[in-house]
Order: sequence, then structure tokens, then C-alpha cells
Amino acid sequence: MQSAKDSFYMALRDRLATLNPQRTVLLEGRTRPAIVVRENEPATAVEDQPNTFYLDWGLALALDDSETPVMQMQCTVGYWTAGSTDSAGDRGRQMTKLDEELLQICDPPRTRLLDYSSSPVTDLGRNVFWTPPAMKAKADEQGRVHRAAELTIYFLAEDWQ
Amino acid sequence: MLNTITEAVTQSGVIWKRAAESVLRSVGGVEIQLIVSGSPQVDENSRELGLPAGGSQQFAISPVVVSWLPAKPAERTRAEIFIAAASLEGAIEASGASSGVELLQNALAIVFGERRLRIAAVQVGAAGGAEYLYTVTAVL
Repeated sequence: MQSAKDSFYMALRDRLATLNPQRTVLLEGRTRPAIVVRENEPATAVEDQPNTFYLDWGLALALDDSETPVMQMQCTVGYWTAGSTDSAGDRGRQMTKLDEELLQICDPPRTRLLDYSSSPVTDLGRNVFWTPPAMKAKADEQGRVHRAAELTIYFLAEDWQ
Repeated sequence: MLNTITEAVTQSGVIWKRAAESVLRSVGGVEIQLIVSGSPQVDENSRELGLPAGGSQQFAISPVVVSWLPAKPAERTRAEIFIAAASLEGAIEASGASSGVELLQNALAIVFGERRLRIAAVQVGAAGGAEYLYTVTAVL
């Protein structure tokens, strides 16, 4: 299951770095593509950074009772922006750009399932698939526009052992 | 002539470093703890994937001046921390970092009293070919 989560994140991260190299965030003193798995960050991490995609993993369940069941797992991608100007008057446009970038990095909706806990990284010979992100209504609070998008990933659970 | 100029510039750098340390001490510089990863070789992928790193190291740094910045509503408290380059030399050597900037940019946190701050940005003051002062913007 961890391999699926890691593979999904790495695919989106690498696609974002290619799509928009300027979409970066400074975290822990390092500049990196602005996409973060929240549970992988230090527990003392500061508040969510603007213009950055935050991945949160949710419910996971097996879809059949075979020895290698198909697994599905929920993922929420949260992000917010205050625009690029002091007045925050372009926050809607910036949010649209974030929406578009999320849609683009989620396509194609699959990637190779890789085991990143081994060195070198091992190809597990399968794919991870996911649904297109379903974007919830955005919330505009105090000049900040927030959005959450939900998607479901699917994979064969052969990496359980 | 060239040697004389080079020597003068080098000496100038040393003077700036000592001056920065002296000034920070004279204005009541305090001590902070700099927390750095115990495994500088951990690569970016491992860090982002939450793969375990090998503990951490802690260095006492002084003299340091901590200046709290006014925060806007709903913003995290921020501080500017002035660190003399000379006071980082021991930590740079012990951690295996190649420079003060690298050490600070890779640091996990700064502990001041009971407060733990995250480093958001590092600015460098340099003169005479030497870095003499680091200005760290940190977030509570």
C-alpha cells in the first residue's frame, strides 16, 4: 500500500516539476515542487503554504477477498491561494491556474508501481490507477481561496507482505 | 602588489567576521540550539516520502540576536535571527556541511528557549571574500 502512495506522489511531483518548474515551495529549508504529502512532513511543520498541493490519504479498502485484492484508497488534494498581488484581486485566476495544473498532472491517470523503500528503487511490475480529481466548491475566506479535490487510486495489493 | 591586495581583502574578511561576532555579543547576544539532520546524505526523495532518516544533531550557537517581527492577523509569529558566521564554524565542521548557508538551509529547526522555530529563509552578509553574518527568517 505504501508503494502505491509513494508512486502516486512521485508521479504527480515529477509531472508538476515538468509542467511548471516555477511552482515550488520552500519547506525545511529546501525548495521543491509545490506538492506535499502531509503525513510525510515533520509533525511540527508550519501551516499550509499557499499555492501548494497538500495530499492527505483517507479510507482504504479491499474490493474483493482474493489473495491479491484490488485496493482502493481515497486521496484529498487541498490547496489555497491569496493571489499574486497585495489586494489579492487575482486570487480567482490563480486558483483556476492551480485547478488546471492539478488536472494536468493527474493525466494520464496511471503510473508504474515502484517500491521506494528499497535501494535502488524496484519496479513492482504493475500500475497504479486513479480517477480524475473531483473538485469541491471553493471557499473564499479573508482573501484566501481554498479548494479540495478528491480522487481515488486503485492498485493490486500484492505488496502487502 | 597582487599579494598585498589579496592579503588585504582576506584580512578584511576576517575583520568583518570578528566584528559581527563582537557586535552581536555586545548587544546581548543569546544562545540558540540548531537542530540538523543526523544523516546529511538522505536524498530528497526519501525526505519527501517520509522514509526514516538517522536521527538529528544539536549544536549550541551563540552569540545570536533574536528579533520578533510583527505578525499580521492569522499569520504565524516570525522572527529574524542574526547569527555571526564565526559562531557557526564548529557546527559546520561537525555536521560536514560545506558552508554556513548549507548548514542553515538544511537545519530542521532552531530552538530558542522553549520555542521551536522552522527556518523559512536565509540571507548572507559577505565582505572581503568571507561570509560574516547570516540573517535567518524563522517561523514559530
